[in-house]
Amino acid sequence: MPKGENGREAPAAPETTETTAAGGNGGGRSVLVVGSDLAGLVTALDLADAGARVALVDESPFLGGTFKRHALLPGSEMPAFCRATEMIQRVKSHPGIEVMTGTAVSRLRKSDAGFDAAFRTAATRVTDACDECGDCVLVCPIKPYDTFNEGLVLRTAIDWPSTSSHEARPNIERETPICVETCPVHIDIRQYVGLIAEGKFAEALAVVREKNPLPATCGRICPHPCESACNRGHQDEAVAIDALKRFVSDYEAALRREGKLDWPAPPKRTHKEKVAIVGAGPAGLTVGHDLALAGYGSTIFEASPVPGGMMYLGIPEYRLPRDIIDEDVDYIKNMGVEILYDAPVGPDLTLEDLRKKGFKAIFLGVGAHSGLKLKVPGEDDFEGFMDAIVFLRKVNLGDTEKPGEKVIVIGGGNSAIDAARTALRTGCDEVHIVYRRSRKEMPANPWEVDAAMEEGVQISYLAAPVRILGEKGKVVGMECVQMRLGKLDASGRRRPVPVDGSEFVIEADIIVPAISQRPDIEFLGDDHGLDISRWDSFEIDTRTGQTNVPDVFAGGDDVTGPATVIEAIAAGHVAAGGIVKYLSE
Amino acid sequence: MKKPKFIAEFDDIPTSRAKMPELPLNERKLNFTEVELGLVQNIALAEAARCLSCRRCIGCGLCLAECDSDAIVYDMEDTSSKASFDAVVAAPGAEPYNPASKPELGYAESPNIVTTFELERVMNPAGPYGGLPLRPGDGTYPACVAFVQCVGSREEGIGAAYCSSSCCTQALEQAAALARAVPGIAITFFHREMRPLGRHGEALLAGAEEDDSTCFVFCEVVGVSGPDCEGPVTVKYDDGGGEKEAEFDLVVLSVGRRAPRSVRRLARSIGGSQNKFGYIQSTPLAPVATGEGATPVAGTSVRPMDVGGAVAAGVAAASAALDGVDAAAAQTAPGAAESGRVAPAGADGPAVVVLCEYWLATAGLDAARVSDLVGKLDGASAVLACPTACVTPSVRRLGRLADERGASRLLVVGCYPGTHDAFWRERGSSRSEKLATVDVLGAGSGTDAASLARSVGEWVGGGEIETCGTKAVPRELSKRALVVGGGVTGLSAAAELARRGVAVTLVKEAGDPAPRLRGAAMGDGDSVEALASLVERVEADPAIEVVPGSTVASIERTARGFETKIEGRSGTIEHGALVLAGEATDYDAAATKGGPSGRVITQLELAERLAGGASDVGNVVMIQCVGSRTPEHPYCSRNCCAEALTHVHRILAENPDAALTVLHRGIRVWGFDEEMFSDAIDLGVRFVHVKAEPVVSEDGTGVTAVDERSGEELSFEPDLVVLSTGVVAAGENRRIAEALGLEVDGDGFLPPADEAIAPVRGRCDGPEPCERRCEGVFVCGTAAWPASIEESVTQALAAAGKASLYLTKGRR
Repeated sequence: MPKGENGREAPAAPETTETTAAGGNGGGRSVLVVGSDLAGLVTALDLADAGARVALVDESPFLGGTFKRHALLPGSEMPAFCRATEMIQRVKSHPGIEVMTGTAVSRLRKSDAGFDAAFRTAATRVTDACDECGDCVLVCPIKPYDTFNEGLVLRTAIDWPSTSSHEARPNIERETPICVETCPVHIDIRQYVGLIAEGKFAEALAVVREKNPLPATCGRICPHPCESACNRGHQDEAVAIDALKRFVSDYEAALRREGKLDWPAPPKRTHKEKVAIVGAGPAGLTVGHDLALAGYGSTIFEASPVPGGMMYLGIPEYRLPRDIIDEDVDYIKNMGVEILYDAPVGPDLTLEDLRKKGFKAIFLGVGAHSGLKLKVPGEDDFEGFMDAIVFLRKVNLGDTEKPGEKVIVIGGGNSAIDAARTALRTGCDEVHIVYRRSRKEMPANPWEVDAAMEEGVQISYLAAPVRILGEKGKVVGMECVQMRLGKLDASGRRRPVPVDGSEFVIEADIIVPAISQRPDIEFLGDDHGLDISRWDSFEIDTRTGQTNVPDVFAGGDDVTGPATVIEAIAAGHVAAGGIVKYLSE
Repeated sequence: MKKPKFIAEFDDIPTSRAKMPELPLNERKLNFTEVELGLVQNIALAEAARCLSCRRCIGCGLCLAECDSDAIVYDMEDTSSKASFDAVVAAPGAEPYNPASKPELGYAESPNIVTTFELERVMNPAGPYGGLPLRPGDGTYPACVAFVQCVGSREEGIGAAYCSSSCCTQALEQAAALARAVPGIAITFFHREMRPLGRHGEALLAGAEEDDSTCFVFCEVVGVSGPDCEGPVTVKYDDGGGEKEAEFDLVVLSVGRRAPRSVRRLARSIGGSQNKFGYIQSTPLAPVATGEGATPVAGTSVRPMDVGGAVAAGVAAASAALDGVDAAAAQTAPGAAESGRVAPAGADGPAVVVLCEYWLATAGLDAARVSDLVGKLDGASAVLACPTACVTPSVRRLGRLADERGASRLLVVGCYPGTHDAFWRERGSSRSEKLATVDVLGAGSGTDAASLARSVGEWVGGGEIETCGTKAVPRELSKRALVVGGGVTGLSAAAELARRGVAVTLVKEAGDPAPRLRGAAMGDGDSVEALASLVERVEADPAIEVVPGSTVASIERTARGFETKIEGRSGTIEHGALVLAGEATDYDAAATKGGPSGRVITQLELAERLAGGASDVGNVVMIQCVGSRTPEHPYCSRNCCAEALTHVHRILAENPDAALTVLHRGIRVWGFDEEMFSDAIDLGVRFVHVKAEPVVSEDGTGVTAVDERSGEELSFEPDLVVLSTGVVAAGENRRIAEALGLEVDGDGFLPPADEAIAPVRGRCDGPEPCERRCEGVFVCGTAAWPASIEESVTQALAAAGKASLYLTKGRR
């Protein structure tokens, strides 16, 4: 038996060929149809019947999508099962249709005459010599879920819907695993986890870095949707993917600390244009990182004295130590990205000033640092309010004095939990979280909620603030009312309503609202000319990150509202792509 | 994707996840040291080994050793290729919501909680259970089944504040199939108003509502759990009277749809912008275009839709991707079959007859009896009855049988045109000399077992029988199309036909092309402008002859298509294709309206009034389903709820204190219109589900109704009563259809040939095989069934595409 490579070797550069049927001259129009579910089959057949030359592309190794898997076809006299057989047969035998299964559109660009497309076709690993005897299926030891059968049963690594009528060629398949698919930046998780299993830690980290420039940070605070999707979770427990990412980045950091590893050579600067990045948060850092790789220089203007944006100012140290942020930031600085601290863009340094300094494009990644008000009676009457963002920022910048003895945090997001756990660490006696919905609806990471409770945070669910109680101008507590799920509304949903007479008082000398945050865009002044939504966020072209002002791009929390680091990284990638495109035009 | 009972297990791989070492609790106070300490190397190595490398070959080589034909090439590499195209069509399929993200629904925990997509596999004859509707947990037949509707739809919290539009129909179809398969099965729908879309869905709902063994519970489902494989599954729900529980053998989660991933990825390249749910933005009058640069998009890229809608969008997108019709490059597929070929008489040689029991059962025939009768026939060398003829095991058996007998002729009893030729010819025998004759008896070959067996007997004896097959119809068709209906549907069809190079005559009835679009209701300013430019384009196009304010006087079939006389136009028009697009007209609500008090108006009249401002509109009662879903007009008129909600928001925007009540019989809004409904509830609009039609007093000052859910009698004294009137089929369509022998349903609408797969082709009146009375006739928009503007225009474009294909290629 050959050494199990787990297929994790870096794929060799594939050869590039021109496909034959599509493109070229003569004949009718050539049309690319992406997707071969029912609509795609119909489209392809109609086009080909009309004389067009059609390339029908589907990422799946088989034609027909969900349509082919279905039994019933509402509204049709014949079942989907029979219908699909017929249509797929017609598509496959139509001289005007070139079928490209197992093929992804890797690039699609508009050209003067139409579209230029690049495809990547997955190897089937089975040739035409196959006589469909099925012996391979009998001996294969791998037992993955049979996706063709919606995971109701298992199959083998040989993907062969053997009882289906329309595709008989087995396919030893590679496909994007669910974890990679789910990750907002599509890190090749399967590959790096495999490399870790083989002890190839440096290679594993290199795979992470292909898509994620902040591995040490994300290894700690990512909400890891990949783990929620992990197939192992259906069997016993999901693989601890995020902890593994942390492990390899810690491993590398240790080597570097011990002087056993040098910094890699910075990428070559191949373009003279420079880009200004406003904000050294995850989005801005990613843009700088990507631009460096693309050969562009950039300077990050950071208003605060520290790097990382909300990663530093919003996330407490016990979840993300400051030297870890530095590790990631140093790596990016080493790539040639310049970071200026205490350099706020504002009245003293306007966007126009940046243009005058020769920056050819500007990226706005200023985050969402402005807390929302509670809108509860008494809020403006007493002293003793500190927004969660303000509180966390204060502590994270080194002022760990406790805000009071008894704290109420209002909200159910990660900021609320962070504020509560931080308050405990500053020495507060009692920390109480008040949340208006039930635990089920709480947007905070469930493991953070568990940890908060273990540490002694009290949580009142289905409780809504009624009014703030104060004495001598200071907060002394808050009156809440217990909510319950009310009667069904017209759309069949129960909405929370207050329970009569259920009012109760929580004593507190400090109230920390953690409702939500908005971007603070005052720094731009009044005549910036940028389109702003009614939530004070930037309106962008989601494909390029470009705002209505051509040389200004934006991404991250200042576009989406408060979200995760990994989502900001994804937005940074998009904007960097948009900037490179803009600069090369 | 879920619930395996086992997975290849290895002793040296841990089954539980590595636990993250943490700072002890007592050290955390006044201490900002990192709580999570990180995995150590040996734990990390073991944890990484837990990865299943999902679906990936590990290269162990066992199959390579086993493969006698050396067909496995491990180092085969992915290939890259490039090509240029004149056009691109994005045509993704439905993408289901994954209910594992709602743990309270117990989906990941219990094998007896399945999604509708899984149930399709369960019921599929080629599925893991051979089509038997068994419980995945223990393989028994379920006696009671629950469907939970709106899982992953109509819920803002999970990023899907829209109605997925097709799940209700899908679930009803599955319930009907379960009822057929398991006699006596009891079915419960836990729903938030059933919203079947289209003719077939309505019929299914009507059937289910009449069936005693099906019940409907309007409620919120709180949780579902089924802790063990053999036990029952418990559904916890609240129907307004507190939480209740019920037990079932099988629970089906009717999962909603998500914007297809491929579309989200491609959106950037094809030049479309996406809405907040990830769907590509389109406009009502250009439903398959992505705006500037116009890359056509088909299927579920623009909004969740049903099968018929996706097919119409596919056809429309195909048409949009073509400039004109390129006759020179015509290629017709082999097996692009139509019914009516006559099998050549006198063929001899050993024959094999394959019976598809699945097809026979689907066609309503007694499979056992047909099998019995055919088995007794003389002359057939072999008869093979299979549960499903075309699946690999059956095909293998057939191949072996044909080889043994040296068969040269094959008759497949029970299959569909198009499947047979290449498929059976290729697979009917493994010998090098393939079968000489392959025939398929399909739909219409016999309505009972005996006559079907007789046909088989004749075939075996070398006689001439009607089979499914290719029959070329060499006809010189007139290259003109007649479009009947000058509404937005007819106009769109005419414009698209002209764009495709077909000469058009448009018979336009008098009146407004799209009253609802023009009014405040559906119309945003852009759509009104788009409509005006469409009218202009049609009128200015030299290829389109517009006959305004007229009707069809007579229509006749000729060798070149049709010959038609139009009122007030001299001479006849010869045309090869006919597009029936007469818009449904507004229901006349005079009876409900009472006297001319001005206090009772229709939504259309309200629209006119709102155009002049809404600040004076205060206390309003809207009454839904006036002239819809009544014994006289049993169908849903499709647009009235959305229209009413548009007006509700228009009023509240100007007068937030307006007291608005909507008396309804189930709010039916589909797709993104759902947001208007949930927003209206949030804004305090009162919705009351009423029993029967509310009564409006003679002078319009009072309305009385009975609350369906509480039984309470309610009375209102509004300033204004607004009737949401439905539509009725246009009489013009019916006259023409009847003259040609096309089917007209009881309500005057024209059903298409096949709602799912041929949604714009006319349907012949009477049983198949059709006598081609429907040939060259296309139906679209509200001529076929009440439809939204988007749906109407999509169908119009599809009808135009199909008509031009028919005129140039003779393809239906």
